[in-house]
Amino acid sequence: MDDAALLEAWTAGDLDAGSQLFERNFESVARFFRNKVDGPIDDLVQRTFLGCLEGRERVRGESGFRAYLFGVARNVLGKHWRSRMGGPTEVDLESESVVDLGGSLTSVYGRDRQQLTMLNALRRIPVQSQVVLELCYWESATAAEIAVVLDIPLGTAKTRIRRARQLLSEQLAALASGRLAVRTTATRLETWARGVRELPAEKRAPGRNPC
Amino acid sequence: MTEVHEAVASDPPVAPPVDAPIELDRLRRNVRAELFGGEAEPTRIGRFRLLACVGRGGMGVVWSAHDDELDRKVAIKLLRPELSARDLTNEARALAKLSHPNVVSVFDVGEHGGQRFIAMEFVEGDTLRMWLAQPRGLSDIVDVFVAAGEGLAAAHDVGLVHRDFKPDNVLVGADGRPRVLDFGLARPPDPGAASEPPALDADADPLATSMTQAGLMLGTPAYMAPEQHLGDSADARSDQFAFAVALYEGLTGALPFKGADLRTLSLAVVRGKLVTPPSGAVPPALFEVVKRALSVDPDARYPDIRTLIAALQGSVQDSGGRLDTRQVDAVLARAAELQAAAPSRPGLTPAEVEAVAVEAGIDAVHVNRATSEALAPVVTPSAAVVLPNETAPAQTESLPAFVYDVSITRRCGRVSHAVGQLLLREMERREGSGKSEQLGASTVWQNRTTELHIDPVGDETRLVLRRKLGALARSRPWRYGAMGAMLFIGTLVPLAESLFPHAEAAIVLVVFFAIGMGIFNGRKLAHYLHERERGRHRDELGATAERLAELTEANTFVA
Repeated sequence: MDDAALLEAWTAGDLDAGSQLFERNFESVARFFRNKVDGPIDDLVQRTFLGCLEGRERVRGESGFRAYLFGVARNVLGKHWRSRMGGPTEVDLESESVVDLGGSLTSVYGRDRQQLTMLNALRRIPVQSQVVLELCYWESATAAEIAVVLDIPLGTAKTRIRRARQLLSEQLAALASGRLAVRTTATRLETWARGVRELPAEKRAPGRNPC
Repeated sequence: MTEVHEAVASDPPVAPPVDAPIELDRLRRNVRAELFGGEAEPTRIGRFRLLACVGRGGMGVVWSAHDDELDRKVAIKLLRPELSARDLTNEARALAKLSHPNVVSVFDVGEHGGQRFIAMEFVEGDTLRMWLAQPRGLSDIVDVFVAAGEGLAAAHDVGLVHRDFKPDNVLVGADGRPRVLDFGLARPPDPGAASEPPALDADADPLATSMTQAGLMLGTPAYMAPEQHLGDSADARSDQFAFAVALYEGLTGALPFKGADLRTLSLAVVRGKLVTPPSGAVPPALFEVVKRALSVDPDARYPDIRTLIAALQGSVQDSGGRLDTRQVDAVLARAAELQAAAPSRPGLTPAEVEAVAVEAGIDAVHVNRATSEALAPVVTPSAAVVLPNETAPAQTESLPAFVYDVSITRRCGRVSHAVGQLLLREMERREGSGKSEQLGASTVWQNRTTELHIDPVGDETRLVLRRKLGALARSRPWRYGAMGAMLFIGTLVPLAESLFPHAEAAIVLVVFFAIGMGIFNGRKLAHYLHERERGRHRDELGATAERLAELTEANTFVA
């Protein structure tokens, strides 16, 4: 059974199917929230799976269940920030980053300094762009899937990906020049950032991972 | 993600963050139980039932947990495997003996799957770093540090040295009470190999706890004492140093030692190259205390934390009771107002803000006192510190221009617009041409050397006259120093040549001596002249102020 069928069965009351669906996708969802939220994420993971039950007619054949799942996760994240920031201030995930929203930089747990720098850079670009890139990197999402996740047309999604990569390399450059801790990482990061920049846009067909 | 998809990059550019397996396991069980019902089989570490992950950092993961035996909420810190090799029994015993309101209590230390864990008091609140990120009054900051210092002192009493004290290792509870955390986890690189500099990576983050490859924690470079940077063993006085770094940072928002990378930071710490905080940021008496605790030589610091705390409290009380932060806020608001009213002006320095405080009618005793204390050291110490063969000039250079200035404040009756014009004409007559600006209700007249502020304060008007001497005071010691050097060379060298016609080495020495003496005496003379002139300027300004006040009184009835 594929994920969409499992969701169908879960909605009809089949808890085993739900459980299977949960096991298959739990780690991706946990990963989705991990680099964006400090502190407990239990509730967010749970709300994401429950949210899947509510709008399942939106699962579109061509992009599949996972894009739909991350779309729900993105909404849950947006609601989380809005309720956390509370008050009259509107939270704009298009322009504000996790760090802007008060996330700390030290709480990320990285294997080595290079990874830590990258995770920090991701936390410094607007949340929307961070979502796009992390889906590319960690979930190998295609542009078409990202379009579903963000609920935007395919062409716009491609632009978003390019924009996000641009923002990330800016942050990496800023971290490399302005902070104390990046001497050896910088060269590796530069190589990496250059690699990303040089990837020609034409090569990225919708079915391929554009990152 | 899709079946037909081929990965473009075989090696993903950035790996996702990895959680401890036990945390992923806890999360999975917990969410699964919520979604599909059934008792969640709790994830346990020892007798502790993990509730939620509350933090993760360089050292490991922290959970809130429930101690089923004693039925209380605790915090569990699971150390990373690399950090788990060390035996923590001694620290645990020492900590168990220690029960202090300003120390996070440790309940238990144990092992789980080859990793060390520490069970400790659960504190609802923020780290001191987060607490300091909010705007805080000076007295609040000092209070919190005094309390945290009590915790450190109590630990020192039972022979525990923290070795990694920093704002991230202090929790400020929701009750406002700070508690020090993570005693004794950091270790010197190798107890046997003293006087070897620690093997810090050159690109280590100075704000994060550094570790060796073997997972020994060395401390946090920005807070480490000189002896730790040099690889000597840390003692209670090293904690005192770290405490003072954190306090300095809390008071000024910046670290006391600067370096573009870790090596220069280490050098700055070891050489004691302390950054002087901007004038007005820290009351001088308080800064003296912090400075002593930041001495390079451990013996030059306070004998222990308690003495330091007492000195801290004394210094804050000295400066006119507690600083009233509302007054300071008012000063800053007024400064912002002035800035907004005159966008062409360059940004206000803290010294100018202080000056504004006096001018703006916020004449809190302590602000005046802080100003006068800032003024006091101008002449005497700078004349004393300049020795010919030392690099001391840097210290005089950094004095803000404001402290050289002379200003006079005079109150008089209400100044109407017409009278204001009259006063400005009088200024032009006495001081030469200048230009005036209207800043809100205040009028400011100034030329290159003199400033007049006419500020309405209630029914009265405050006149502030200032003679701007900063540029002169900064350039003159150098000019006089150079002139002095030439003078001494001109007289001493021919004299020496005639006395010892063949001793060239002696002549060279005499040249250096002459340069040194020349600079020293030239600068001394400059400072002496400056001080004498300050008196003259004060008299002049006083006379002008008197005249302006008279003019005001004389014309107020007519108008």
